[in-house]
Amino acid sequence: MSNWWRSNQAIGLYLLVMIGALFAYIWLQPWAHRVMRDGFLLGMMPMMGVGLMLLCAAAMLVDPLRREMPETLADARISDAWLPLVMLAGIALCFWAMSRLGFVLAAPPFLLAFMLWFGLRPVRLAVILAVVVPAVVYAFFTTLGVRLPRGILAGFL
Amino acid sequence: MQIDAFHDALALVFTFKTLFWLVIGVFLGVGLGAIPGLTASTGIALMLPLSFTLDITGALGLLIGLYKGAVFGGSISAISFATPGAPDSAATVYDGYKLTKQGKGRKAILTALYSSVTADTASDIVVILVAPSIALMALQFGPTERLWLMVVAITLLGTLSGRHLAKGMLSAGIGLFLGTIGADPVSNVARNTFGQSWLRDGIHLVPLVIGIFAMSQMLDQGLELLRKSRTGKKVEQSAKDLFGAKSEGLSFREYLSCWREMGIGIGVGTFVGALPGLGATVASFMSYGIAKQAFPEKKIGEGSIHGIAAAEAGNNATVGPTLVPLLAFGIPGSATAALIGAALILQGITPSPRMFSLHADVIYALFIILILGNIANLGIGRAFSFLYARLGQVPGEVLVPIIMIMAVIGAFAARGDPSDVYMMLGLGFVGFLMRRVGIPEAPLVITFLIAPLLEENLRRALLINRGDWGGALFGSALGIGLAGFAVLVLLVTFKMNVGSKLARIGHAEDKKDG
Repeated sequence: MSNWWRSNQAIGLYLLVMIGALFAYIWLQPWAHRVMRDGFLLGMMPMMGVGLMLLCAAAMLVDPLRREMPETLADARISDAWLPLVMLAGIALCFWAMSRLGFVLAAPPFLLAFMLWFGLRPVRLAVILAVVVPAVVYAFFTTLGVRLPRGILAGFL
Repeated sequence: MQIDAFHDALALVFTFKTLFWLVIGVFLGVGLGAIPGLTASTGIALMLPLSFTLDITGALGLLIGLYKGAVFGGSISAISFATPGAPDSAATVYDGYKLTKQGKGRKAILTALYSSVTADTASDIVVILVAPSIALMALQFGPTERLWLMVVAITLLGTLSGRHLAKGMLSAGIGLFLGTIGADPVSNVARNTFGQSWLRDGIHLVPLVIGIFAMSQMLDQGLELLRKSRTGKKVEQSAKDLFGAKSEGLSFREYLSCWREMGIGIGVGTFVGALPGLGATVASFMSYGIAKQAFPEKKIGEGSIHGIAAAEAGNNATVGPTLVPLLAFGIPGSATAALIGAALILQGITPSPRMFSLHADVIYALFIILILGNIANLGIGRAFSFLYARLGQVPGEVLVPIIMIMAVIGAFAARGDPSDVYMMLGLGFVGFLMRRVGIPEAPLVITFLIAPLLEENLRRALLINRGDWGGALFGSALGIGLAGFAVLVLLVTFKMNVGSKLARIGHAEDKKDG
């Protein structure tokens, strides 16, 4: 029972609650019941999608694999949920900085921080890569005609 | 055959640009495949925005070259370090790594290369011969038949993509839901936007595929790296002396001695590749298993080139046939086919049976690129395999942040819209959670692509039948047959637990191998 929360049945239950809320939200929207000129209900396809998800989540509660635990969850920890969010926040911050400072200035601190965080040593190697890689990537995409954010260096690049 | 279109295709393909991007695609693909943890889907997802800047043949050259290269490239690290670059090459580890330990790494890699290219070419020829006939047949289909064909494809994908039927179908449901966000495809009325005006155009394909295939994988690998650096466990691998000058090569006689195993691989791979939902991993293990059972005297599993030939022919033979459902019906049968279909859509060409008459030059160009891709694969694989073996040693600490940055660039470069980047990050987290709980990603992306077509065909069938649902859904014998087949697939998969059995093919070999 201690590991029940990691089982397919538990996952099915979490999904059932979330998808049920989504279904209720869509059902309550006026557009969902709007009949189009061809007689088709505007909300039919979204509700079919959510309905299929709901059915599958319910099936996970009772199907023969309900007691199994996904291999990837066997050694899951709480940090598995928030560490990816921290990574995503870091990437979002990098992109935010990119749109203001430009790619060439925003990418090196991000790369350096993430390489060191992931355990790359020696630090000197991480610094060199963090400087060289964005420069190469910028040159490559510029050659191909893809414009990357130039930020405050717009006048120079 | 339309001779004019064929001439146009030759003129399109045999240009410096197209051949350059084809070679670059294969070059990147083999390297990508050789790096454990990176798959063809990740590479194509990342390269998709780049393909906008190219013309149609350049884009096809880049993506198909990358796909072919990546499927072969996976065998390099499987043979060198017993770590398959992708699951497709897991069966190659059994014999490949044993040969490497015996000092025959060069022989093993050359066997993998030659059997990959042979099987890939043979299956491409089958595609070239078969796809136009199937497309001709598909042209006779009305909206009802097309609707049910899509339902069959979604059912096959959902049921065969993993060992858990409910999770596969759940993934398809998520794709269907995401595909309905934004304006509806017939009346162009906004729906399902959660009150957000920026969602009116729907979720763009590029952030979706980059988020689901690339970012989610990088989050997963980043997490692994953080765990590894905390526990202090580091795997030190070295390719030194594995492929020294003294290492034994592969003779032509030895290559020919593998014809039976390659034949099995071609047969199994071509069939499995054309079916939606299965893919290269299943083909590789199936052909390996059949060859092992059929030829016990060849000691497959004990360090035999015949085992490598069977596994590699099996996975590479799926590359061409995976495009058959896409070209003949406009329905992608695998994640990679969906991404190639997406590239065509982004170039203004909708994959469908009508493509054979409307864009015959593009179809012929694609066929020529399929064949040329094998020649490029052979040349690049022969010249650089032994260097690529060292690429497998590039630490994840370097690769993961770089690919994360590339994912951001890819999502932004497609339309220059910052909301695409945030969308990609959000979908990356969704993909990460799906990986963690064992929900396959491929049905999501494919159903997302199919969703508007599904709605269009359903509404067209309803219009033709003046709002009569019975007539719209079951108005033809073929429609009833396809509907029955979809139900049958669901029932059989559930009763016989087919997905689980297919997933076990690989695991059984793993256990036997210890």
